[in-house]
Amino acid sequence: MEKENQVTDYRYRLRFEKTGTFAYVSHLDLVRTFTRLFMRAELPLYFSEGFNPHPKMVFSAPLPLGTESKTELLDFRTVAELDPAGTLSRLREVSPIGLEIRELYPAEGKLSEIAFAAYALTFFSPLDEKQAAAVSDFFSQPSIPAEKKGKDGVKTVDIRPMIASWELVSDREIRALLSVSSERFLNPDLFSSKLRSFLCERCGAAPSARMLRSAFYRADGVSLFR
Amino acid sequence: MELSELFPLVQKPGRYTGGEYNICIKDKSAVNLRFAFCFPDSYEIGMSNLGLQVLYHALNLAPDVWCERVFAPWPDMEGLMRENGVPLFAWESRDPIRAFDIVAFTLQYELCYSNVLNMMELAGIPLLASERGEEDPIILGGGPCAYNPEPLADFFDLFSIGEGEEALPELADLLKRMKREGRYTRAAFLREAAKLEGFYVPSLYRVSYREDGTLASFSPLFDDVPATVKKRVISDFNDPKYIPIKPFMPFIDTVQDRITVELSRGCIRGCRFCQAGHVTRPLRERTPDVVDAAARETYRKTGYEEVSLCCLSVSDYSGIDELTDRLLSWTGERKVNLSLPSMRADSFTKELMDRTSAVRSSGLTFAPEAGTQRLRDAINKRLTEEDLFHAVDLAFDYGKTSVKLYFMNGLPTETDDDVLGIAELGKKVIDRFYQNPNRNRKKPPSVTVSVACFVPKPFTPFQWEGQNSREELSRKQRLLGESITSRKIRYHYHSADVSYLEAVFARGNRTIGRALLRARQKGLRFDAWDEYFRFDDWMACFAEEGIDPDFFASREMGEDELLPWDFIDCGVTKAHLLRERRRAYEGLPTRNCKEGCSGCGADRFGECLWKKKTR
Ligand code: SF4
Repeated sequence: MEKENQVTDYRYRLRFEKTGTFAYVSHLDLVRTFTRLFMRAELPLYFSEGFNPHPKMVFSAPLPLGTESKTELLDFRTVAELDPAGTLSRLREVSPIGLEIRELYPAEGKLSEIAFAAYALTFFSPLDEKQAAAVSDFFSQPSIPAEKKGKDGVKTVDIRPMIASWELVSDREIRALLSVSSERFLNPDLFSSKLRSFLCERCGAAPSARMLRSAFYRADGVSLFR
Repeated sequence: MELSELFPLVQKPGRYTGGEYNICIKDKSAVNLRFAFCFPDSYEIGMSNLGLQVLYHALNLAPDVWCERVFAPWPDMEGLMRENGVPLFAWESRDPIRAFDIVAFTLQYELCYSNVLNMMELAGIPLLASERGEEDPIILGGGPCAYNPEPLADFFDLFSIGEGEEALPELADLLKRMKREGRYTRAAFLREAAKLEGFYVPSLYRVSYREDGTLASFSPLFDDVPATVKKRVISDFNDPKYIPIKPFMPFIDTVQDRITVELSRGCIRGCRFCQAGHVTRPLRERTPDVVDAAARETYRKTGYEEVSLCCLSVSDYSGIDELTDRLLSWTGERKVNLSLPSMRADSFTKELMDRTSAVRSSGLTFAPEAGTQRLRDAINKRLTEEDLFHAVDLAFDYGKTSVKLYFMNGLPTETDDDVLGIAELGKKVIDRFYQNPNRNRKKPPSVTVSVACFVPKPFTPFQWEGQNSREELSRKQRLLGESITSRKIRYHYHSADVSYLEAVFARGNRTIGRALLRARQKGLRFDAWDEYFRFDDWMACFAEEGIDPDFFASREMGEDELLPWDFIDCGVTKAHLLRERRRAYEGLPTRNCKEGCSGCGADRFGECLWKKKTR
């Protein structure tokens, strides 16, 4: 009987922010957090069939622990149509601090189409001229070898091709578009630590900085994902 | 350095960040009393503790009291805090707890004592009560180990004995009132608090010793301080006010992360080694109505995927069918699982199994405690072999292949035959599997035999018994290990060293405090964790203080001896405990309370469900 109840299937997308201490909630813990949040808001979730039913959720590319984001996306399925505005406000009422759900709309396309994420790297103190020049030099390198920890040990990869574009917007902030597709995922922590150690080598010091993710783009540059 | 700057540097920042859903945040300026509720173990263990949820909820009911959580920082965090001068803080506000009015520690097991002292040191609070000044917080202890608070007497200003839901808010009220009226000094407050029911102020009692080290006398210093401290029992266990229907929810993985509702307090069984079964009497049950309503409300506030019913023995709960019916009427469609963790093999039914996911999730666990019927009778664990076989048959019918069996070594009157009986019982369970026509044919059976060491506990019929020496316990563990030949039986046993230390603390007196102080100087902490437990250092602490730990752990205490915890009235009388001890030696079990009241005395503390029903 249950199966018949679940035939209709609606797909929705959430855009949420992950800020403050909530940035320390890991990807795995986020799944649990959202499942419970949806249940608190009494959403008619679609559950997988079988022995251990669970709601189907797809998240945009994972964030390193501690990195904040203004745009995280979550696709989920329901067995009934939702009123997006009402549902959004219900969800916001039962969200933990630091998890700000900003938008809810019917999902179009797939999150796997996401190719790039935009990041802002903010320095805690301004860069001097020499450091600013070194930033240019960093990106002008034809290749940037970096050690990446994977399933089968540490291997060296060239991260330069995974940096689609960059801009020094002020003496405190760099914006960069980094590849986040599943085949080519550049960990933003790896990017910022490579950049900072380059500055250290060149100029003797680099100010501390934090990364913030701000948007997602498809390979064709369309920001389908607000 | 700011605390938040340490987050990126530790293994699991989620232990310290706070901000969990459903925590209680209050406006400091509108609050008159700051209360730090400390759980002296890791965040993951502490967040799984129902008692913490219950008392956090009870204290925060008062708008002008703010109770916050504190856990023991894991050694990586502790190192960073010490290096950077970051004092121990409360998880909600991140304020240093040194400035709080009351700092309370829940004492769930003896091996957390070293963490208590370490946390006080990390907070910058003088360890010895006698060295604390007017500006320091009041240090309060409570929980199961407070039934013998004496080893900690030097460090605590007072202890709450028994149930805290009403006692702690009363204590908070007293403190607020005295501060408001300008009458507050530590001494004046403690003197008043000692008159509240269920509180014990160690500094108001004088202890003298005989030459042999036993107690000569234990008496209050003043006439208005009670000679006997009566434990507290809440006035109405069915009052939903005290059920924490808005439990805080950890983001990170912890031990217990689900809806937990208490069904009952007290246990009808009276196993003779079990402290919880005795000190939680009289017997009380919540009505299915109250439990179901609480579970539903908690579900609305949490969205948890599992409801767990908690009590000492779930299947003894009289309303179990009605309750599971009610719960199943709403949990199923919401994909919420129902689990009953403390099932007894002798009341394990197919019905219950159908209704719960206890079975589905993992294997089944039963606790025969002893390997032979003789010893099970002596300890009043009346589970028979047939009961156990009936239960495992059911489990095997269900396709289950793994069963866990809990036992204890070193129980009073235990012989080598009893030890060998454990191995035999394990083997017979394997045989039951192969005799079962409905058994799972894809997987071989596996029986885990897990053996703890008996630790004599205050307020049990075995409180006088000496613990087997560590050598004897190890010998029995080896004997059992050698007699288990089947590869299908997995054998685990607890460390005899750990159990020995538990016994020392469980039955210790005030002199133990000196060794605890030494242990702090030697940097001992997290004793409940194998990787940090340093037995030889503990032995050195005792030796350096001229304390013989055998005196507390292995010595049989005299029936007419004044015991360190005798000043507490826990409900069950000493006469009852003595009677039960005699029956143990005669090999006689005692009927359970449903079959008839045995006059334990706990009903003096409030109506006892089965005393009433069986009269
Ligand atoms: S008073 Fe009687 S019925 Fe109640 S717990 Fe004690 S022995 Fe059992």
